[in-house]
Amino acid sequence: MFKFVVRRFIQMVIVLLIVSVIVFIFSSLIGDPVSLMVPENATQEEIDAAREYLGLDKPVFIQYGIFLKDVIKGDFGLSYRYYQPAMKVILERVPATLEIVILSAIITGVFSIILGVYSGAYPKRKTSKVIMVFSIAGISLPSFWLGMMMIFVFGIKLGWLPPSGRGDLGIFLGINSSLFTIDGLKHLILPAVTLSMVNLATIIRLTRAGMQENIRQDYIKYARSKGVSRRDVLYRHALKNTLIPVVTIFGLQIGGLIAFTTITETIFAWPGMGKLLIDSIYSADKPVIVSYLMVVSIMFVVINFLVDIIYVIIDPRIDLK
Amino acid sequence: MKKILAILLILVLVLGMMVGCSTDQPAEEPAEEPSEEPAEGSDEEPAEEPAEKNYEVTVGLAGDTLALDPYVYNETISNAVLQHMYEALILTDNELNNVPGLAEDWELSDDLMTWTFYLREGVEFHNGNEFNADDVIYSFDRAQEPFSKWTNVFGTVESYEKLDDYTVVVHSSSPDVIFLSKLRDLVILDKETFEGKGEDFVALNTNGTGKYRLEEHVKEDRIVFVRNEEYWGEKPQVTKVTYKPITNDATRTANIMTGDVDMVVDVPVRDVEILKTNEDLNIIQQPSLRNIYLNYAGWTDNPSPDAEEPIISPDGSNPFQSIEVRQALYHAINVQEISDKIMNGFSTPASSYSPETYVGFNSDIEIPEHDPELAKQLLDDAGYPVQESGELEGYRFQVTMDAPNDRYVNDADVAQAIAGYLERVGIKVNLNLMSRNVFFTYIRGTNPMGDITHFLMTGWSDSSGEGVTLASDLLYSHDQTGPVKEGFGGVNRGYYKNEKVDSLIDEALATSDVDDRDELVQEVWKIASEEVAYIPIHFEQDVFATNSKISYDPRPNKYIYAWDIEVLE
Repeated sequence: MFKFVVRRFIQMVIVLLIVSVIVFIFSSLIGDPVSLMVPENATQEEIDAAREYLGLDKPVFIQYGIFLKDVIKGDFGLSYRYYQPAMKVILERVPATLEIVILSAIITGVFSIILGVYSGAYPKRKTSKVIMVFSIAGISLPSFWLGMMMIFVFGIKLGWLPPSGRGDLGIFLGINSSLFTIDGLKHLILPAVTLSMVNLATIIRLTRAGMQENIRQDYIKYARSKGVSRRDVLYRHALKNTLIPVVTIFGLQIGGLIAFTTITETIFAWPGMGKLLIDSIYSADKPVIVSYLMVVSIMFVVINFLVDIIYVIIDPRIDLK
Repeated sequence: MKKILAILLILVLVLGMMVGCSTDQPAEEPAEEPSEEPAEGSDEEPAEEPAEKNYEVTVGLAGDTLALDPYVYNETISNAVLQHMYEALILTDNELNNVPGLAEDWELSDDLMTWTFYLREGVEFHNGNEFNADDVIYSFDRAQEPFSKWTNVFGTVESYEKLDDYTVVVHSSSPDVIFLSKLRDLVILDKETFEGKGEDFVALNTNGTGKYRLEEHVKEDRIVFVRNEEYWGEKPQVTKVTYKPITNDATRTANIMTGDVDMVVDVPVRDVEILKTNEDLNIIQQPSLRNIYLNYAGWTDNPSPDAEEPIISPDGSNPFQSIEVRQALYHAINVQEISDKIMNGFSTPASSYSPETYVGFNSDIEIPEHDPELAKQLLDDAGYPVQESGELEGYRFQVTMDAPNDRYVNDADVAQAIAGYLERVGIKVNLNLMSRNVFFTYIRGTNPMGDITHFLMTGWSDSSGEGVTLASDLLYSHDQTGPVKEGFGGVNRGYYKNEKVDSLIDEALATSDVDDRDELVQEVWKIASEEVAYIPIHFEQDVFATNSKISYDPRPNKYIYAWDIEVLE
């Protein structure tokens, strides 16, 4: 186990270095932050002064060296837009994004497993067909449209939920989160559901396919004839064997949710990381873009690591080595 | 396995309980953000007097102020938001006239070279520090640091000094009578609080003299101000104002419809009709100060030498050099139709760069009649007949038009329409649309890719209220290689050149009498119009929506201030 962790850690460092070099070079090419920062009628002198201030007058490899130094210092350089350490800017946004992702993961996890198992076990029932229609819709509807419709229906027409923004924060166990207040949860529901829709549909289909395959296996028949109840057979025997691919995909989806909730966050004016990324790209805020993508890389490595461990729990035959 | 499931279940239960718990205590306090504001906030009692009524207002803005440092940005939203906390020496009234701010009075010496500012006594910063001349000197110094976006305020300033605690003198290098209008957005910081601190400190901490104190700033979520009960002047009615940045247009509209905000800015044109059907909402419109216009490199023999798609004309000449061609372009474009069809009536066709309310606006200038036949005639006369053969077959000449597609209202559609009008009179137009973060680098004279643009559509505005400011940026001669006069003609992207105009601008800058200046600047617009130095298309419209709880009187420069909002009883 220890060896496994160490190996993963070394892999992570290598991945991070590669990511930072690639992103650094490419974000140097996408746009010139200086001309976005100075007024349109700036003189050449003002432009040069701004360039020097940002350190952009130096060659790219020296800029990269300075960036690495800032990484070791822990602040990842000063954001061109916020005039704050890039890492601080990113970390400030993490809780808001985690909130919708956690809620969305719970919604996805609970509903997709229940619905997926059901429609896999009883594929001929009307309800199963309805579930499948719903899941096709969920995959095909773009989230910006879905988000707007949610706001229109639940915010404007029915008036049940607030249309956008983050609600009041509550403190629980020292954690400051809008998950802990009613107002906060009300604000959370629409973005979380919007975010869940695509993943929900994918996982339902995945679970269903796995279930259909598994319930035809001999061990299910044995279990039934041994007298195990139908429900236990489905949820304890068949589901367990279905879960391996589901967990893999689910893990990747969570990573994707945390990293790239851009569209949902923009529509719901949610002050999270996704919106930060898109704003930073628009304004060529290199320190934030690079740090952000490094954080995302770390996260994916960690999530994959956790997924590997969950494999072992689900299927003891799998060995981490 | 079972253990793990059990742990998971417990976790879910705990989570459920937490949610349940908070249900029981709805009076939970809104969480403080301790890291946001260590200097203030902690020692401030919330200003609540039971005798007085609380008026709270929530406004949906189109974007957030990114840093609380007033010098690192100079754009409408940040300026307006930060001016709730900070004040300049000069303030403006609702018509953008200068009124005394932190400077009680000022005078200009007879040779127009020295400004003397008499500062207001007894003004306190929010933390109780006294305001005096040191703060002004410190702020002027800081506004010229490399990170500052306010350096051009000091373009004509040679030096400044403190005479005594409440008198500051500014010496100019050349006469600049509109120095005041440049100063009025330059707010004053407290020296004791900020001296020696880095930009990262100023970006998070505030200490101004303004009508409001900062209560809370959560980036991209909200910024909350409460009324400064110790304010030196007349206190506004609204006691607490919350600004919410809602960047998505449709979401902003939804928020005013549900009543989650009392007012929204930048209502998208397509939503106005829906909002009008709601009796509880009021739509407020005004022509904005932003002019959308066309520039062409008509004052050079070698336009856009580095362009991939240069001008192609039969004899290799630059057609924009011919005044007939420029007139033809103007006659070919139907400005009124653009306003009616593309902007749904939400624009005001413009006759010059100058808004009507500005000093120097010339009401005699008229938009030329839309007349494609006359345009064709003029193009024939100019020596650009329709080609019978070759690569230009069927056309007179070919140009590339650069325009943004996400910066101005319906910008891509307007650019397409203009290209269409020009095609109709035989000018082949390559339309080069791009995103704003590429566009403004692309059209800049100092573009690292070289000089690559010869015909472009863009927008410009300033809120000085002075036509001469507009003219010195947009019309003052500027060579292809660099400025003729440092700090002038910075966005004269067509390299327009006219010595008469230059001297009129210089003269206007040295004319302190408003009426005389008005006359001089009117002459500038007249000459530019006769020479078709540019083609103004329209002023965009500012559209606001409010609910029936408040009434709002917008400012021409679209600065949203809480003191312009009145809560109705």
